[in-house]
Amino acid sequence: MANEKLLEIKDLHVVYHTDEDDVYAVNDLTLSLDKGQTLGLVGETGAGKTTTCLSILRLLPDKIGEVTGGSIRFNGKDILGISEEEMRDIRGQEIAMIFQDPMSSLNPVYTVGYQIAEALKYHSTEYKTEQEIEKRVEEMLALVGITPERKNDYPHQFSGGMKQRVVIAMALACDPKLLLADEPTTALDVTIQAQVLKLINELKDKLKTAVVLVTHDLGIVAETCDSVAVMYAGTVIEGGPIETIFGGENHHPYTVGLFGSIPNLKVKTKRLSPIEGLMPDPADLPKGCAFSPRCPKCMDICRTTEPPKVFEGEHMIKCHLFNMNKEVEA
Amino acid sequence: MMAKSKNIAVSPNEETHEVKRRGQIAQIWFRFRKNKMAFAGLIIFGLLVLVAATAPLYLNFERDVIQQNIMDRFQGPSAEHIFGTDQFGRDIFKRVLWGARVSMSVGIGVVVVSLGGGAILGSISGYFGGMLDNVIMRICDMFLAIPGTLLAIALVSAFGNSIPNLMLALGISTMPKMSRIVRSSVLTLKNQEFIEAARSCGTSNARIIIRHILPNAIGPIIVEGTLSVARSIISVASMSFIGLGIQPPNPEWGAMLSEAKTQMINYPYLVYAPGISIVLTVMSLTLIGDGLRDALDPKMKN
Amino acid sequence: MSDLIYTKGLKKYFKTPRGMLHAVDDINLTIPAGKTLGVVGESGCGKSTLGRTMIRLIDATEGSVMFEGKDINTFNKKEMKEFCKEAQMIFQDPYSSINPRMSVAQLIAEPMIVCKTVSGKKELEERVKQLMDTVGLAPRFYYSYPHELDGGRRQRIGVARALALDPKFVVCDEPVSALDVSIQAQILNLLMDLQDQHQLAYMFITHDLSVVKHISHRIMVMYLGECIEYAETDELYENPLHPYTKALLNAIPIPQLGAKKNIETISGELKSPIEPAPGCRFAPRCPYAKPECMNEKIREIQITPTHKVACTLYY
Repeated sequence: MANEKLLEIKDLHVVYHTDEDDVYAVNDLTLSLDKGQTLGLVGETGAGKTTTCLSILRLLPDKIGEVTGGSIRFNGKDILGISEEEMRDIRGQEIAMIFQDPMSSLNPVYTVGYQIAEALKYHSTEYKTEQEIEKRVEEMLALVGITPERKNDYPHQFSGGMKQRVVIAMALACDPKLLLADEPTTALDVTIQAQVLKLINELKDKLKTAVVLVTHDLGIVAETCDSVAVMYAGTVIEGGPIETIFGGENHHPYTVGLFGSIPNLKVKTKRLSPIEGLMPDPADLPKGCAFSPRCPKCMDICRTTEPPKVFEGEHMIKCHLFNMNKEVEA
Repeated sequence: MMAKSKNIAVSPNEETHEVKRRGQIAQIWFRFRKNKMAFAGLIIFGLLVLVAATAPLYLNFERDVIQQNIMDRFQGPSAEHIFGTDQFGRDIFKRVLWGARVSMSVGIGVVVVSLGGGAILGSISGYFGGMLDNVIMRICDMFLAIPGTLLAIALVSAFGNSIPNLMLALGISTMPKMSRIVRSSVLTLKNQEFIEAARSCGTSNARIIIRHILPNAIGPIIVEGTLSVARSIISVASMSFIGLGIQPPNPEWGAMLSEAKTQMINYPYLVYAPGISIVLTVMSLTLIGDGLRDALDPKMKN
Repeated sequence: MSDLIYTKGLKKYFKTPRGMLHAVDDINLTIPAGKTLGVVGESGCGKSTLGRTMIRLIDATEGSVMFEGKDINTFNKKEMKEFCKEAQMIFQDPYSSINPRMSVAQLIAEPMIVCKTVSGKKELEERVKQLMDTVGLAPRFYYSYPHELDGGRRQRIGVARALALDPKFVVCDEPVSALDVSIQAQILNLLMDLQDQHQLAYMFITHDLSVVKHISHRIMVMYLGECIEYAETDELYENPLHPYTKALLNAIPIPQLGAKKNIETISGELKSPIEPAPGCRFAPRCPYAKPECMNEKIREIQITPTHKVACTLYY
């Protein structure tokens, strides 16, 4: 049980075909997640975090988004190979997703209780009869800290944080094995964010659901995740158990830059040390290492050759710096 | 090795090409020309205008346009009369050519009046809101309650019967609708942060409306404007029918069409020429309108 | 030390169908020249409204804003135009705060055209290029349109516009909250450099306590329109007094392992600021609430010369 792989993504490539260009959103992405664990997927806008989640659910926009290579295995099943019908059973029942904006995930004309029941009716094999569903709805609301009497309320009667709780309740109603959470707290205030994160932590322990938490906030990762994958230009540039990312000696220059960009509450710094420049255009990626144009430690080889993955136990860094000489000071 | 650039990093394929570009109007023209359909529309419309403007050079009003030849009435299309002749034996094609002068100028004139007035009223009432908005909109509602043609009839009778007055009357009767369209787009724009940003550096209200609001609201205004050209050409016909528009025997597309309507079962060819002319005018204007809307939007660059 | 701008009992109420909305209620603050006041609070606490009343984008209901010794609410049209040159604003959303139909050059030139601070086309062009250089926009963007630029560069346009008139005071309304972390740091550094070069006074409005700590000299914490704590930055972070400030600080996720594992949260959510009950507005969520918190208006207690707090715990 301990080290059973729930989700395994190998060498995934996703391309969006637009009128003018092909946009390479995900390039050679490899990830894995054990049962009951939480993986933090960190990166800036356009790093391919959301695309990765959508490919897991096979919800890429029709005719535009295309998986051009690699494999996704969920619970031993090849997700990219199964039929649309089988996929529909997996969605909602075994993999659920919550989105950034709780307002747009709820239908304003139905009560929240009705919307949770709806999810159960379509996806659940466990809760069939009216009473079972009714009971489950109340159970779920209680679980996320909403009094079950509010099930007959409409979404507009809830505040932002409460709505996000409803969305979580809806996602977890069918007991999914994997929850994809795409920036679940970005739209919320800090004190409310803390409440929601606490809830996610508690539910994780209680229900043993594996979570992929997409975020740009390293603080949230430190507080909730077991392992981390830092994404840049569609690929994981550093990954591993949380201790190896937040501790340890060697890090990818981009990870170093991300940490340098955050004003630290505990330490007084006169000047932040941001990463110069911008994300590369995914339709026109630089040769070699995608980060090389912004990298303060860029070498000649970085501009020509794609860096290899260097492993140190479970800690992976995709960078030339650590390939040639591990003793080189990071 | 890596040159430390100031604040902005340099992307790999960046060249410091010189800062030189076409002026704004040239840019709009450039984007417009790239749109083949819009350019075709412009050519068709240009030809129509040319034909209308030069009609006196190749047609004699007395002989070609209004002279009746009872012997030749209701002749089908032939080499001599391309689109046939009407009930008084007049060549339909020649009448259509001459009619273009009135129909096109009235059609466009009406739209200019209603668009201009509508843009001013709509943006004032949307931008300032409150009491002023209420007053303007209630007046518009009153005008909307009266059927457009009826209103135009009343106005023409009051001002006197002439072509400029006809344009004015039809323009005023469609103005309330236009004001509402403009007002609704102003309302959505006025709460955008860039309006506030403009106000924060002391920009006057007039400048905000002209420089910031109207350019962003231009899309629906142009679409509505081009479509209403057709409507106003037809409206002129109904005005003519009750004797307030263009007086017979002067040719005018709308009137020719409504006359032809009564004979359509026996002589269907009567509707071809005026019908096709109206369709061509409206189509070319719609294409131009669409192209213009896109060309004015800097997002549609390439 | 003369204060560049200060307020006295500043209030802004909005009329709503359900009663008066107390967006800004009795705020007293001072900002010396060349310094930054951070204003912190959650959404709906009135911090943006406060920022807009400071430069009279909206008129105050009561109280005064004194700029260089004069009350800006008494300014006539001409004086307002002069004041515009002294006090500017940087807006939150770099996507909606600039007109999509104008080019970078037009956008930056606009304040100068409106206020007629430059004479002649040539001088204007010079000045625009100089401003672009100051805020770190490459000259090749001169004719670009906003949609061709990313959020960070758009925000640099906003900064350039604010600087175009050489102001002394700039209200920054969440200028970095819509940007990615690495870009956020670039803009923060830029703002701090500009402050050093031009002796700008900032009012920095944000919900992000780590950002505000970095840039501010003094901080004001707002809750439902009221100032609940006001202190020098270091003092506030070392010794937060108000239970709400403590909760806010506690709620920030820290990017360090084991920084704190048990997240302590305050329950409940922001109440509506419409017709608030007398007494402490935070009381319904406060773990230390006592009966006297609900009854009368809470006084501000001066703890040290530079630290004020409005809470009955310190009576």
